Amino acid sequence: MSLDTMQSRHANVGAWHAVPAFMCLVFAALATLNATAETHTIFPDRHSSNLSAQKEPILRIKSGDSVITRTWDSGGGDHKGIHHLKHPYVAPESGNPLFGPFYIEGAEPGDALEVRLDRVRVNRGYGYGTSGIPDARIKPGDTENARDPIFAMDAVRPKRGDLVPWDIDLQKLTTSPRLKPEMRSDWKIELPVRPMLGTIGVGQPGEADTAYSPISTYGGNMDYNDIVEGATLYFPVYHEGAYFYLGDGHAQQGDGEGFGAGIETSLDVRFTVRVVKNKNLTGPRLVNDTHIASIINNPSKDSTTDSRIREGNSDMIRWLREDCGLTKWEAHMLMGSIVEHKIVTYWTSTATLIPKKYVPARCHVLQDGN
Amino acid sequence: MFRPISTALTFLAIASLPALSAVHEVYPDHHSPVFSADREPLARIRSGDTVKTRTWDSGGKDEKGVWHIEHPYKYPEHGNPLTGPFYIEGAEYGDSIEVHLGKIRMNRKDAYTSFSVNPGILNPGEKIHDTNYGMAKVRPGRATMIPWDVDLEKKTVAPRLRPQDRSAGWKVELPARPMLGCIGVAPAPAGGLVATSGPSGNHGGNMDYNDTVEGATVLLPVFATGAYLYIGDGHALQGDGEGFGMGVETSMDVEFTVKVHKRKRLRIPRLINDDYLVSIASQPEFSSNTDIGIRSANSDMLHWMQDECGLTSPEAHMLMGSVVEHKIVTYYGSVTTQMKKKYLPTKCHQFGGSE
Repeated sequence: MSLDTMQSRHANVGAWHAVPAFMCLVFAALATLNATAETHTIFPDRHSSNLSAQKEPILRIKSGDSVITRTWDSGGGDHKGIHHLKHPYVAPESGNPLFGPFYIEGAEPGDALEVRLDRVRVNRGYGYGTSGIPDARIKPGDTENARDPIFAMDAVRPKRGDLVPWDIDLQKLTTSPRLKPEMRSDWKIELPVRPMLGTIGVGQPGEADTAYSPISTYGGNMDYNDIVEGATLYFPVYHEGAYFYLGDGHAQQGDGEGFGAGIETSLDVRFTVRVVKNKNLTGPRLVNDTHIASIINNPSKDSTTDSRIREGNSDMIRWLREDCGLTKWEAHMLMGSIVEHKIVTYWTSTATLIPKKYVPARCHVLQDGN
Repeated sequence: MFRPISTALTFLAIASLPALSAVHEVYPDHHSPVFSADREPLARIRSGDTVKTRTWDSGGKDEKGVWHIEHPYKYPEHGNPLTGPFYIEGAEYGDSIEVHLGKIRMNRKDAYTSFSVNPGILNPGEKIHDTNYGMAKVRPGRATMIPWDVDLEKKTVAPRLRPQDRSAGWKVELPARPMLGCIGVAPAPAGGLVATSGPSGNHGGNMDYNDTVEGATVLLPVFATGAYLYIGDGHALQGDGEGFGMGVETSMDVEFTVKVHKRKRLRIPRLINDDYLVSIASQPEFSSNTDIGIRSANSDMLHWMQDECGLTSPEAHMLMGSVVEHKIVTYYGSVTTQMKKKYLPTKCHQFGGSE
C-alpha cells in the first residue's frame, strides 16, 4: 500500500491545495511553541472498516503532534467525487471507511487519548442523506408519516434508491436537499452546515476485530453532532499506541441521527493528539466551548436511552468529583439543577452534559491521573 | 376535603364589553391535588383573558412562608398543590387551548431540593452520600431536603450546604430560571380515575419541563367542556430530567393568558418559545420509556410541520433528519422533539397561524 505520507511541514502545505495562507503561520507558531511537536499530512489511499488494534498503523505520531487529512464519505467518495469502494458493497466491505490506525507513541492502556479537532470543514459541493426517518423512529402504526423508502434509483449510488442528494454551498456554508419538484412546498430547505465526524475512536479492547461500524466505550460510530471543529474528545486507551481512527463526515445531522445517516460528505480534517497519563476513563468524553459531556455508547439490545443516561450521569458525577474537585454533595446539586442531555443516536448513544461556566476551570481540560 | 371558593378570590378589571379581554386576579386560599373537571372553578375566563395569580411550593408553602398543607402529609393529601381549575368558556372536546406564560417570577427568598439526585438515575449500586441532611431543615418529619437560598435581586439560587459538604474555593451559585412544574387540563375521563398532580400525560400535568418558563406558550388538548386548567409546582431552577425528583422548589408569581383554538385537536402537549416548536411526549416520570416517548414526539412533529407549516412529507422528513433536537424532560418519563423556528416558515411560528 502506498501511503501519501509526508513529514515535512512545508511539503504538507504545498500538497494541500485548500490550505489558506494563515495555516502556514499556525504551523510556524506551533513549531515555535513546541520544538518537538510535528504536523503530519496524510492522504491514505486505503481505509479500515473497523477500529481494530490488530492493523498496521498508517502513521506513528507523538503526543502533541497534529495531523492534516481528508476523510471520505460513508460510501467511500472523496473530495473529488472519486469512489474508493465498489457499489453495491461486496462482502465483507461495508460503509463508513475509516482512516487509521494512527499509532500514538507513549499511549498505554489506562491512559486517555485527547484529540482536539482543529479543523473539520466541508470540501465538496454535495452530500447525501436517506429518504427520511425510518418507521422505527416514529410512533408505531403512524403510517401517515411513514417515509417513502424509495427516492430515486441510482440518484447517489448504483443500486440504491433510498439516498437523497444534498447540495452543499461551500461559499455560504449551507446545505439543501435536492428534492424533486413534486416533493416540494413553497419553502426552500436551506440549512447552515455544521460539519462533524460520525466515527472517531481508538482500537477496541482485546483481540476483537469487529466487522462493521462498531461503537462502545472506545468511541466508534457515535454519530454525535457535537463532534465538530473546536471540540476536544477523550478516549480510554486499551492498547499501547491507542490506534486512533476517524471518518464518516457529516455536513449536518439532527440529534439521534434519524436518517440513519447524516448529510454524508467528505471533509478536510486537522487534529492534534495528547496523551493523558493514568486517566482510567470508562468511556469517551467531550469538551467544547460551552459544555463538558460524558458520552455513553451501547449498541446492545438491552441498552435503552434510559439505561445509558444512568451510565452517563454516573460518569459525570465522577468527573465533577475527581477532575473538578467538587464534593459529592456539590456534584449532586449541579446534576439536579443544571444538567443537560443529548440524544446522540437513537437507541445507541446518549450524553450527559454540564455547562462549563458552573464548574471550576481546572476540569475543563483533563489532567494526568495518579 | 373541598372548601368553597374563598373570599380571597377576587375579580378585577372585568371588561365592560364582552368582546374585550379581561384581567382576573385570583389568589385562592385552597388548592386542588388533582387535575379534574369535577371541581368548582376558581374563575370562569374567556379566550383572550389574562389571569394573575400565585402558586404555592410543592409542599404547600406560600410566598410569605405560610404552610397551607399539614406535614407530614395526611392521606390522601400529597405534594404539588395546584391553583385551579380555571374554566375557559367555549373550550370543548376536540379544541385546544394555548396558555401564554406572561410572567413566572420567584417571590420569596428560600427554596428546597432533595439531598441528592435519585439513585435510579445513576448506575445501579452507585453509593450516595449520607442520606440525612438534617431533620426538619425544610419540612417537619423530613431529613432528606436541602434548603436553597434565593437571591431575588441577583436572580440566583444556592444550596445551603453545610461547611463540611463544600469544596474549598468554589461556591455553587446558579442563575434562576423560574418554571412551572405542573400545567394541565382535566384529562379524558378514564373509568372514574382521577389524575393527581403526580404523573403527567396527554393532558399535561406534572410535566416538570424546564422550558415552561416566562415567555413560553404551552398548548394543551381539551377533553372536558371548559378545559379546567390548573397550574402549580414552581421551580426556581431544574436540570433536564428532574434528577432530584423535584426542582429547586419555591412559590411563584404567575400571569398567563389563554386562547381557545377551535377544532385544533392536539395529540400531545406542545410548547412554543422564541426559538423552538416543541412536541412533548408527556409520560409519567420515573416509570416510562424514553425511547417510546421519542417516537410519539417525532410523529407529532412530522404532523405539525405538514399541517401547520405547510411542508410536504419529504420536506418534514428532511428537516427532522438534519436539524431535529431532543430534550430529556423527566427521567424515564417525558421527552421532547423540537425544531428551530428559523428553519420553518413563519406561518407556523405561532399556533393556529393567522386565524
